[in-house]
Amino acid sequence: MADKTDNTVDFYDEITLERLEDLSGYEIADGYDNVVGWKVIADKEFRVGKVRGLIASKELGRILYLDVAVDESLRKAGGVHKHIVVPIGLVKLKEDLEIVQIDSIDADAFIDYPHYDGSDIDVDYERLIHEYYEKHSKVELQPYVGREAADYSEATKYDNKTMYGSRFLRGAEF
Amino acid sequence: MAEIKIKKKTPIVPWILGLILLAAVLGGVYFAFQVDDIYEKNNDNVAMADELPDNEITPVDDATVVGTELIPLEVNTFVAFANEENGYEEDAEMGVHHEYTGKSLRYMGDAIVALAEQKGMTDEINAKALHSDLDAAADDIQKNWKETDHADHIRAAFLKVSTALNKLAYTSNDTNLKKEARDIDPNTLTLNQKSDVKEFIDKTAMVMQKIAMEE
Repeated sequence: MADKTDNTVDFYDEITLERLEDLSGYEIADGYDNVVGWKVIADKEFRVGKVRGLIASKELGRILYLDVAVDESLRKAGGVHKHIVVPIGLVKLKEDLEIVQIDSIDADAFIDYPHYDGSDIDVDYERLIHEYYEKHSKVELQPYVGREAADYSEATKYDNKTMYGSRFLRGAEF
Repeated sequence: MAEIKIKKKTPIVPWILGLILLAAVLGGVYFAFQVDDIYEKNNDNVAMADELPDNEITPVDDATVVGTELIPLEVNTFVAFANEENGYEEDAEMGVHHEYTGKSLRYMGDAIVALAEQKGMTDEINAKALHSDLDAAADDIQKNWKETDHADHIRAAFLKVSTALNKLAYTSNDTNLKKEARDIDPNTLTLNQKSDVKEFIDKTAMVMQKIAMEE
């Protein structure tokens, strides 16, 4: 959970997003899984690819997005994305199988999913991701405001369908 | 829904520096002990000249040539024994001191015989008889160490030794050596103190060595 008691970031400070491998002074906290390399499954049995990297906010002290490398087979079938970015709040982790499950993505998602080049996530791209999921029937979101810490806080945005929810329910249903 | 928290890595540099420092300290201690061991082995328990304590006698290597003569092995053995602190401790039990004194008398006897042969004075100082007397005194002291009259036996044995050394030193041209030989007269010692015995042994070893080194 990201709040002032966990982190030194002020509620209205702007956060930064960086790949965890570039944050040399940071690592996965004890008791949490490093999901890099885990298979990503969407819509129950539709294999998307593998987790390639983790996008973190050092101010909030947690991962906000997963960088997923799309399977070659999926791209040959008509997909154009090499990588997609998935908000952490929309996935479930099945650590016994090392699977990341996303119920809010299906094959159709690749038609208009925001294209990601595999580099940093700037504000504009994050907005696109947000807008994509705002249209999604299974996800309810407030309009994207920006990168203030408050916008990612459980206190203001948490519900069972938030993109950045901080409740950790291993293997549990939403 | 998932959550994955991150944390700041524990800085390892202080740990590494600490380990390096610890290794350096341990290495330094180890090296110091190694140097001491090497020093002792190389010098065969001989202290540096500028570190010689009072009454310390430097044993001469068996092969040391003085003029055309070799220092007799028996003299070196006695000198080494006198220098050895392991056998003599001020606060050791009485039995230990009697053992030490007995051994010293035997080594003295061997050394005197060797010195007398070196100087051609075996008959003159009646070296063989003296050797027997010293061995007998050593036997008496070591076997019956609980007796109370050992001081007298030790003094008598030491007197014989100092008399013989006076004769041997008298042939020397070194007046200082003659004086040193006279100075080991056990009559100057009370022999009630363990340290007196040790002092006599040390002085005797020093004088014997000097006599042996004379051409």
